[in-house]
Amino acid sequence: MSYFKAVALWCSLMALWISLTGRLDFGFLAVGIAVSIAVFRLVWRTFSPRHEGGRLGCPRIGFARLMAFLCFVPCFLWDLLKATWEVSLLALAPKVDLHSGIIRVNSDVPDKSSLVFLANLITLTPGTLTLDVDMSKHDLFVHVLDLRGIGTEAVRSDISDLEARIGRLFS
Amino acid sequence: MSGFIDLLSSFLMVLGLFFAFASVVGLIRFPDVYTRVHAGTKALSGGAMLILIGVAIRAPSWQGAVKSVLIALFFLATNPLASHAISRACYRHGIAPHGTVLDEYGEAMEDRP
Repeated sequence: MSYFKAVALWCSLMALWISLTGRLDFGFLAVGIAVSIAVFRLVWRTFSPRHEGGRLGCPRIGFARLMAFLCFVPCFLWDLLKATWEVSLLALAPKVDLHSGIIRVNSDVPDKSSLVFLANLITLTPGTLTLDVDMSKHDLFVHVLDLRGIGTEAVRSDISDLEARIGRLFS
Repeated sequence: MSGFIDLLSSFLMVLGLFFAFASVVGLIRFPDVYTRVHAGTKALSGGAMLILIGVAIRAPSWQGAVKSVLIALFFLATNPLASHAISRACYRHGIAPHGTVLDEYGEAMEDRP
């Protein structure tokens, strides 16, 4: 783990402390510095790919990554709103008539952390819910709320869209 | 300006309340556990996000605003995981999906030794 990344990790821990306590007095800041150093010593191995147990790996930090993230957030919030709206419409419709189904989607995201990220995103986007993940084969089992209108191919292409967006975020 | 901010945050909170209400109606009316998880996850997290953003806009201090944004982030991180755990456990305990037209998960489970 490079010096810059260590400082970035410590600064984000410190920012979390400040936003949780909401105080900027000297005493609170001193305790925060001590606590973030302690937490840093506990967790830094998780982000370091060279060590045993470094499962998460360290994301590269840079301008392009930051811009990708800034473009990603509004898209994601819009998707979440759309999902909420569609489920609400189905719930308030005069007659509940659902044709749900479970489909299997093969994904080719490179590592486990982006696979978990993808599974979470699928749950939060319209009409789909991740039921299970096969980590060894990179298969996702997705429960679709209403298959009748859209069909499995549309769901698959939606998910590969998401995959491409995550690839831009993580690679 | 202050009137506009009040209006915006009230609008977001009322919209979030509507979505929360719709998700409860969905929880009651949907036919089986998987579709109910759909209602409980998506409609509820969308509604909670809108309410929390509305609170963050109106909060009297920056501490309150930051805290409600933090709550929203934790909500987004944990809600899909909980729904995934619930639906997976239900499937493995043999609760069959209601009125399914396609079930590729069951086929994949049967292939396994």
